[in-house]
Amino acid sequence: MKRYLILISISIFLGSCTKNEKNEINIYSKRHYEVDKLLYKKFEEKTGIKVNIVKAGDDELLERLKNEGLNSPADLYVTVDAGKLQKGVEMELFQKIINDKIDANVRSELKDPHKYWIPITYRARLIVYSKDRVSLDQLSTYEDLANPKWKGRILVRSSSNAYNQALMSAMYANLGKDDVTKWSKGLVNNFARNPKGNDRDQVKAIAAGQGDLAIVNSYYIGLLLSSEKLAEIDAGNSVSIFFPNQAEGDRGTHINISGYAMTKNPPNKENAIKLLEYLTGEEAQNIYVNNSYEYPANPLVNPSDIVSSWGDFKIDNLDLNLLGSFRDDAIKVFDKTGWK
Amino acid sequence: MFLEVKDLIKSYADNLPVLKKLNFQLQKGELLSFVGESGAGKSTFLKCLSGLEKIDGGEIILNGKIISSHNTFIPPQQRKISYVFQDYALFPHLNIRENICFNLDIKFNSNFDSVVSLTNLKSILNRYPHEISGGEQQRACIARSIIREPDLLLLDEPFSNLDSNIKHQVRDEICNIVKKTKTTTILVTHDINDALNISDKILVFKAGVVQQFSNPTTMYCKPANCYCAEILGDINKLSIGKKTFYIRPENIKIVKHSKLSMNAKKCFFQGKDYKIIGLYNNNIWSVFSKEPIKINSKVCFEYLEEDLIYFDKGCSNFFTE
Amino acid sequence: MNTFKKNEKFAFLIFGIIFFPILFLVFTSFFSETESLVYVFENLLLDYSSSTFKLIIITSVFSLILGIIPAWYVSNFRFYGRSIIDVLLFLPLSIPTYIMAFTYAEILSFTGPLKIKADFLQLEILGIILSFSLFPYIYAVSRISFSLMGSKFINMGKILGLSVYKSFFKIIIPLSKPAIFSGLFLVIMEVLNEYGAVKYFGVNTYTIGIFRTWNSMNDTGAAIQLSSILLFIVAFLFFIEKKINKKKLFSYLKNSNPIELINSTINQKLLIYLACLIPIIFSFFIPVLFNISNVIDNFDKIDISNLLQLTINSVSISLISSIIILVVSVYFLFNERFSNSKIYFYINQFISLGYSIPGAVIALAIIIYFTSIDKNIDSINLLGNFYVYLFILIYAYLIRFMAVGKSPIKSGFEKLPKTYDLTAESLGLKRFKIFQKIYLPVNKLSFVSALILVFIDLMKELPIILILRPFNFDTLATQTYEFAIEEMLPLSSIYSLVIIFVCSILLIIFKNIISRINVSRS
Repeated sequence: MKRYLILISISIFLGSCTKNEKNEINIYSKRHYEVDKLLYKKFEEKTGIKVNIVKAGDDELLERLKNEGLNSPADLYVTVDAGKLQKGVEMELFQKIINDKIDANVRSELKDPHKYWIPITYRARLIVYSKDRVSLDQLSTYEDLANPKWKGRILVRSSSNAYNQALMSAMYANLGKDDVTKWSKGLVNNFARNPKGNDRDQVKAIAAGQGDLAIVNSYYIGLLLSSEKLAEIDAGNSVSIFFPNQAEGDRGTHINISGYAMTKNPPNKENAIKLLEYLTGEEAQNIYVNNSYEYPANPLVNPSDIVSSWGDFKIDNLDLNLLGSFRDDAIKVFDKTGWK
Repeated sequence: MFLEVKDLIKSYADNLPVLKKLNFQLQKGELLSFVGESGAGKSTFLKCLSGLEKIDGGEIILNGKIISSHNTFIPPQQRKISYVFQDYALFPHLNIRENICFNLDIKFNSNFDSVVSLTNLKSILNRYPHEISGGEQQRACIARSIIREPDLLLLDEPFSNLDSNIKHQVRDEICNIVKKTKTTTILVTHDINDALNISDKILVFKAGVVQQFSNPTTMYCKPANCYCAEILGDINKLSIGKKTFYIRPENIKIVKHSKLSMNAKKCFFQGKDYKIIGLYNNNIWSVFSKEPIKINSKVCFEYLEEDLIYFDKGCSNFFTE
Repeated sequence: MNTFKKNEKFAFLIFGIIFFPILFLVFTSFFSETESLVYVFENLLLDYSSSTFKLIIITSVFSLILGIIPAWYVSNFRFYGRSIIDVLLFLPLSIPTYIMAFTYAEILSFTGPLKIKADFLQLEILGIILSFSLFPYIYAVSRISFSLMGSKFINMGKILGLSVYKSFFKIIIPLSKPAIFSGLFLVIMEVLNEYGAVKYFGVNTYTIGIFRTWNSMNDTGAAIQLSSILLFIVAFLFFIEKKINKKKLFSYLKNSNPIELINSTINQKLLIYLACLIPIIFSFFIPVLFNISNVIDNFDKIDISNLLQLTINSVSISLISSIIILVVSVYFLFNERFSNSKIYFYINQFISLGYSIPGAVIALAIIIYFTSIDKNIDSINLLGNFYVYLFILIYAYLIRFMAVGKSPIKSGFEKLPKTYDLTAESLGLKRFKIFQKIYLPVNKLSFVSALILVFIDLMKELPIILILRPFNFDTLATQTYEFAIEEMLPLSSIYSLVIIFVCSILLIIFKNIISRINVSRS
C-alpha cells in the first residue's frame, strides 16, 4: 500500500509542476484550419514562443475550462462564433483584454463592447442563388425568405450548426420572439428538403437543381471557388452571391466573428498578448484572407480577390454578444418550428 | 430384388477408389449389417446410397427405379431414403416433436401416433435434444426417419455413441421397430457382434470390396476368408499335415486327459468362464474354461473334426478385388 | 483461503475504480434538474427515437444481407479465389464508419465523379453506407457459426427433403441465431455510438441528442440524463442478447465433421461472385480507390512530417492502451477461472457491457468525474498535465474496449481443460506461476489476436479521443475528422488511408492467427 501512496504522490507532484511559466502559449481551439497552423508556426519562428493547442468542439472546451477553473493550463480560447465567446464570458471563464495596439488593429464595429474578446476575422451568412432560376430583383432580406413564393426552393443545413444558431439568435434579437417564430415557420415551410449536409453541400444542391437558394457562410463560397476540383468550381459558379438587408435604412447582413478570449488565470499572459498583437497585425491578416477566405478584422487589410469581387456590404451592427444571450431562445424556436 | 447395387464404384479425387465394384441385393424388409473397419468407406457407401455423394460407376436400383448410375442422379430429397447419422443430427433448436415432424409431408401425419408409441417417445416430445439421453435421441432420429415410410433406412453406427449397458436394449428396440414397420434397412457398424443376431444379411467390407455377403449363420460357420472369420471372434490356427485349418475357441473342449495339450500362458476371468491363452504348436490359441487354470500348467483339450474350418488360400489375406 | 479473499477484494477495487465514472454519471442524473429533459421529451424525443430506430433497422437489415449471404457461400462452396475473398470480406472493418460516410458523401455528391443530381443525404442511404463498414461483424460471426456447424445438418436437411435454399432458412439461420445476434448487437451499438456521419446526414439519433443538450442547450444535466436513458436502453438490449445466447443448445459446436465444400455450378458461381464481390467492391475497393485518387490529386499538399507524427501518435496511443486493456482483461478472466467466487463472473459481465456504452457518454462521464475530483483537490493541477490527460484517455478506453479484448482471450482460456489448472495447482504452482508457465505460452495467439482487435478499434475510435485528447495531440482519426467537418475532405484522404492500411494489415494477420488456432485445434 505504501508503494501506491508514493506513486500517487509522485504523479501529483509531476502534475503540479506544469504551472511554471515557460516560453509557450496554450490555446484551446475550435478553429482548426490550416491557416491557423501556418500562422502559429510563423509566430513561433518570429518569437521563439511555442504554441500548444488543444482542439475540440467549442462547447466541450468551455466545459473543460469551467471544470479546470483557475487551474486551467489554457491561456487563450479561440472559436468561430461570438455567441460561444459570450457564453464563456457568462460562465466567468475570461478576463478583459485591454491593449491599445490590439485595439487599434481591429475594426470598431466588430469589437466586444465589454472587451472580453478580440475578433480576428469575420464571415457573412449570406444568400446564394441559382443564376438560372432566380433573378436578383426577387431577393431582398432574410425576412423575405419566409415568403411563400420560395416554397420548396430554400436549402440550409441543420439547426445543430453553430452558424445557423447564431443567425437565428440575431434574428431573434432583431425581430423579437413572435415575429422570429413566424419567420422560422415560414422559412421551414419553404425548405426544399430536410436540413442536412454542410454549407458547401447546399451550394452543390443548388447546382444539382434540388433547390434554388441557400443560406451559407461567405468563406465556404470562397473555398469552393478556389477548389482543386473543376466540378466544385463549376458548382460555385452556378450560383451568385447576395447580401441581404442592404437597402437604405435596413440593418445590414448578419455576420459572425472568429475571436480569442483570455482565461481568468493564464499561465503565459504576456506571450498570449504578443500572439494577439501578431494575429491582428497586417501580415497575419493578409495570410488569413488569402487562405481561409474570411473577411479581415483589421481595417487596413483587404479581403482576398475572390471575396472582394462580391463587393462591399453593410454589416449588421448588432452587439455580437447577443448571439450568445439569445442562443437558448433561438434553439427553442428551431425546435418549435420544426427546423431539424 | 428391392435394392440392387451393381458394380458400384466411388473414388475421391486423386485417390484409390474407396468402393471398387460393390455388388449385392436385398429383399424388401430385410435388415443388412454392413460391417467394416473405421475409415474403410462405410459412410461413403451410405452417402452414395442416400445421394449425398455422386457415384463414379455402376448403378443403384431401389424399388425398380435407377437412383444412381453413370447418367442418372436422383437428388437425395427425392430418394425416399432415410438416414440416421452417427451423431443423430437432431436439430438443437427444435424440440423432439418438431424434429420428428420437420418438413413432413401431410400425408404422413397420420403415422405420428403409431411411430411415437412404437419408439416410446411420448413423454419427451416437448423436450429439446440436449435434454434427453443418447438412447432417446437415437429413437427420436429413427422416429423422424420411419414416419416418412422410407423405401430404405440407413443407420450409421447406431450404437457407437451408446454406453455398453444400454446398447443391447437399443439394438433390440431398433430391430423391433424395423421389423414391425417392415422397413428395408442397412445398418453400418464396425463391430459385427453388435448386429449378428438381428441381421438378415451381413456384408463384410474391406479394401473397397465385399469380402462376404451372406446370412449370419453362414458367416459364422463358413467364413469366406480368414478376415471374415476373425472379425466374428477369436479363431485358432492349426496345421494337420500340410493343410492349415482353423477352429473357433468355443468348439474346443477342455478335458482331463487328451493327447492334445497346450501350455497356458495367461488366464482371464470373463464373467461366465475363463479365457485361456496358450501356445499350441507355436500358434497362439485361446480356449474357454469353466475353472481357472494355473499359468504354465498343461491344458488338455479335444475338438470335433467337423468344426474345423478350411480356407483354400490360407488365412493371411482378404480379398482385394 | 485468506489470500483468496484478499485477491477478490483487490479485484473488486480495480473494477470499482474503472467503472466508477459510469456509476457516478447515473448517480448524478438523479440529482440534475429535469426542466430541460422535459423540454427534450416534449419537443425532440419522438424525432430522435424514430430516427434512431429507423437507422438501426436499415443498417441492421443491410448488414445482415451483406454479411450472411457471402458467409454462407464462402463456408459451403468451392470456387476460385475463395480464400482471398474470405479475407477481403473482413477488410471493410478497417474503414471507420465516419470515413466511409464522408467518402461516400463525396462520391455521391453533385460535384463527385457520378454527378448525382438527386439528394443523397438520406437516412436510408446513410443506413446502407454504415452497413458497408459494419457488415463484417455479421460476416465474421456467421462464418464461424456456419463452419463450426459442419455439413451434418445440411445433409440431414437434404435427406429430409429440403432444398439447399430451404435448409438455409429452416436450419442454418435458426441455428446461427445466437451468433448472428451477437454480431448484430455490435452493429447496433456502433450505430448508437456513431456521431460524425449521422450529424452530417442530418439524422437525429440519441447521440446527437446528447450532444445537442450538452452543447447547444448548454445543459449538462439533461445530457447526463439522456445518457443515462440511453445506458438503460443499451443495458436492456444487452441482457436480451445474453438471454438469447444463454439458450445455447449447441452441441454442434463440438464433434462435427468439417464442412464439405460443394463444387459450384456455373449459375451458382455467378451468384456467388455477385454476393461476395458486391460487398467487397462497395465497402472496400471503392472507398479505398477514391481516397487514393484524392491523395494523388492533392499530392503536393501532403504534410509528410505531420503525417508521420500523427501516425506515431495513433500507433503509440493505441498500442499502449491496448496493452493495458489486455493486461486488465486477462487479470479478470484469469481470476474468474481460479476463483470460486461469483464476483469475477459479474465483473466480466459488466466489462462486456462497457462496449455498448457510446463513446460520447463515457467521455462525458469521465470529464464530470475527474473534474469533480480535481475541484476538490484545489491546490494541485491534475488536469493541466499531458500525462494526466493521457491517463484519462486510457481510462476511458479501458471502460469501453475491455470487452473487445475479452472475447478472444476468453475463448482461448475455454479451450484449456480445467484439469490443467487442477494439475498445476496440485503440483504446487502459485497462480502467477500457473499463468506464466501454462496460460501465457498456450494462449499466446489468443493474446495477440485480442491485442490486434483492440488496437484496430482504438485506431478507428473517434468520439472519445475527440473529447479527451491532451495538448498538441492529434491522431490520424482526429485529423481525418477535422478535415472532413471543415469541408476539406480530399486533404483528409491520406490520413484515412493510413488508418485503413494499418488496420487492414492487422486484420490480415488476425485472420491468419485465427486459422492457425483452428488448425492447431483440429
